[in-house]
Amino acid sequence: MEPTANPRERRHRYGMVIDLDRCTGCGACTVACSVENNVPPPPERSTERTGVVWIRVSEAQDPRPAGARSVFVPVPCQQCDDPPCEKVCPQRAVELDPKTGIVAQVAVRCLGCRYCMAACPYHARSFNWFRPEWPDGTAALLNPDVSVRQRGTVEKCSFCAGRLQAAKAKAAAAGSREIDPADYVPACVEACPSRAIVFGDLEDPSSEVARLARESESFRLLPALGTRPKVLYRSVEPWVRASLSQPEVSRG
Amino acid sequence: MPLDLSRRDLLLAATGAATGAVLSPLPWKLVDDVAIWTQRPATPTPRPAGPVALRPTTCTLCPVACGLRVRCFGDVPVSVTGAPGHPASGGAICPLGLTAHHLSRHPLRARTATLRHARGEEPLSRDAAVAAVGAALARAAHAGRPGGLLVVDGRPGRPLSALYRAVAAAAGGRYATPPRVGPARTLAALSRRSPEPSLTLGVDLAAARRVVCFGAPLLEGWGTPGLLPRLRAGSRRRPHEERLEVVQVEAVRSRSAALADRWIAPVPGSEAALALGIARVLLDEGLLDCRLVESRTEGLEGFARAAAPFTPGTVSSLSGVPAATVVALARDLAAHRPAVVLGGGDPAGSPLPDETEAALAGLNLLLGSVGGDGSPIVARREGPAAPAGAPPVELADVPDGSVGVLVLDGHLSERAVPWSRLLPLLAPSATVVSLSPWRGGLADHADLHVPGLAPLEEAGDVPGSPDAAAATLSRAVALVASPEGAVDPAVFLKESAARASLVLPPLPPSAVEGVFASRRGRVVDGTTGEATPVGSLASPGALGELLEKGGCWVDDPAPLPRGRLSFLAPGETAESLSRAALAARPAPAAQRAAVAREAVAAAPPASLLTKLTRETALRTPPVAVAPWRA
Repeated sequence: MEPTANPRERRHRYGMVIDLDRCTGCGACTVACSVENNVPPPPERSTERTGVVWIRVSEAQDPRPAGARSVFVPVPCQQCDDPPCEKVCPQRAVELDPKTGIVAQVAVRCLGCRYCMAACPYHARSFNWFRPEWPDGTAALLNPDVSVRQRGTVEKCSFCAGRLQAAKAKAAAAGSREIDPADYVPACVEACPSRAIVFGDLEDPSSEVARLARESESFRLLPALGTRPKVLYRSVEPWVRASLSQPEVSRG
Repeated sequence: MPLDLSRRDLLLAATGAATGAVLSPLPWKLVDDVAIWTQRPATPTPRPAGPVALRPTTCTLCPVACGLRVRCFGDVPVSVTGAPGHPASGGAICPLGLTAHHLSRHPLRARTATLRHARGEEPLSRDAAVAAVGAALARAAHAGRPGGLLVVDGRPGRPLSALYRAVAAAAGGRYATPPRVGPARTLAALSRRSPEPSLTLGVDLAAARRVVCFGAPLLEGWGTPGLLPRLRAGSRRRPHEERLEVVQVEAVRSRSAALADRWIAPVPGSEAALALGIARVLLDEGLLDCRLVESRTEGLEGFARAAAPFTPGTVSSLSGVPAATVVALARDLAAHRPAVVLGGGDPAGSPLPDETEAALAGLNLLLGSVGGDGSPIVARREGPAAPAGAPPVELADVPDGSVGVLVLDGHLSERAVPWSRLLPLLAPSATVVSLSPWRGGLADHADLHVPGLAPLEEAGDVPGSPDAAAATLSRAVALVASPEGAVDPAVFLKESAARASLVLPPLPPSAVEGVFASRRGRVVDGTTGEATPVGSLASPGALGELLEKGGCWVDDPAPLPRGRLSFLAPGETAESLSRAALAARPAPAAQRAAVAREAVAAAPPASLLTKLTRETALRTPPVAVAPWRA
């Protein structure tokens, strides 16, 4: 990462660890994310491919012959340290913030070429195929901290950057440069009823998220690609780790 | 030289100008601007409607009554989260609760009173609706029985329920509650085994080390959101023998079955045989909780006689579950007490038969799930609302054709009471009144639909789940304005009763006054989790103020009444139990194979052909569980 402009400012590397043994696939994270980030409800003609969703919940089933168990896997933007989407964007609409480690999508720069969607191996980006519309009256209930993206642009999880800005403003008002970690919690983390998602600063060795990330039960999706995601998963079940982090590449 | 312009010259100049304009940037700029306009239409710009604030309230979507914190800009709510210290929900809420502030603007929200007749629908003013319901109540009061009033309450125990009972009593009618479903039926079956007929039981899942669910969706929806997964994950830090495990007994591979530590798939209808088979192994191998069985129960011989025919081999032939699995499950439950067995439903969504619930209740008694120190099933007191007015009756006790006016509570769902169950009760030319805030479901069958209040529109005291380990009371605060045509059901019913000249019996004191008078329990702050004993409060007003700020009253633990719990409830015999369990159809090999196929083929191939889905085991979750293939 590049050096920060102000050397006195502490550098963060926000990330999350998702405990797959706790996730029940209820979808609360997806709902809370959509409400927080003003993701429009999909029109009737949208499909799994054309709808906008910032955190998709997939299922992985025990592949062993007698296995009947499943785990549910929320997949937001993996917030890679080496994001492939950033390299291919001709508009510089994808930015890796060196101060926070957050990969941001700048909607006003996006021209909708969707190179980033092709480059993202995690299928974590959505294209606005349709004009964003809300049912009668619900547009008045939108979150004023987050702008609405237009049709023809790509969007994705930003780790609820609006909440980070609010936390920074609160800290600044209190005369502090550093935010209180309790003030910056993404909507999905707050909403998960099973408390499956732990969020925090991976650079802070004393944080819960850093401790969990170091454990042997934690793993990344598609680690062989070298994208170094800051979203990690964990499970005590060896079959879960094997199914999700050791790719069985089938070509042809 | 004179300028000699011909028509040809003018045409040439015009053509040249047009060609030049086409070759200039101007038309391309116009096209580009038009393209941008089509690609980038105006989008709504959210603006804050005032200063931001977090306001506490209580969810009224389901009986759990989760504590909420609603983020508001001025008067506009923009998001909902759980209250972190709330004892009923522990900070968790369900996905529907996260959108509670949207529900008042849902497309199915009824916005005005409607009168339905043969010619169609017509909107009614509030006064006209009061007059129509008042006339119906007067007619019912005059008719008496049959042709009288029946009020069906979707969620008993609320302040509104007391008013329903008062109106039913004043009109000489009946007040009915929907049949209990899910694990509540198991608790009710256990209550029937007590010498104390009014015994109320609740479940404390935190006390259990094994939870066996016969179709109950404990891992995905029942009870407090996310509670069981949290408890299970938290127990993983303990030694292996002390961990909490969930066993799902269900014919189809539901989400709970997929998430459970073990999934056992019996043939539908053979659940009672499986439960009695487990009981037989416990009895044969002496694995029952002898101390509790001897001190707190009676009638073991009868239950043993009922379980006698169900050897593991017989159970295997009836249910398709291998005999070794039956034996292993029984030994596992005995070795990891406290264990609790809860019923849910069958694959068709219907409740389990009474005989199956009786077998599950007997199994709980054998395992010592009730009555011991640290048992997961505990005695609790009823909520603070004092009973008054018409006594509750079962819908099954209402004679067919005896109802002249049917009032349906807004919380009554068609899933709890299907319309096919209510229709036979109606007399010819009966009037059906619905107070549902939504169109659809039972409201579509009403002659008169008067929309009530949706979540976040309601204000008042909210009792907690009747299945919880202790009674709770929270307060809902109205944060969203209701549509102009919606009514507060309590106010509306009082006005309608007055129009019908009904004299209501005195209503019981409010729930807050009842709690204060009892001096029991504590009020837990929904944000910090700090507890204030009720005994230390000076007045009911102080208690109400704490509830208004997001507090939740939690009752003290109640002792199990003296006396023994009987293995067979009044009216049950060992023979009737065995006969019903043996009536399960034998499992053909094809059915067993179908279950096995579902186990491995529930997740369809992903339609998202991405690197992620091609190179890992990730799949798109199935939209619906495949039904049982007979």
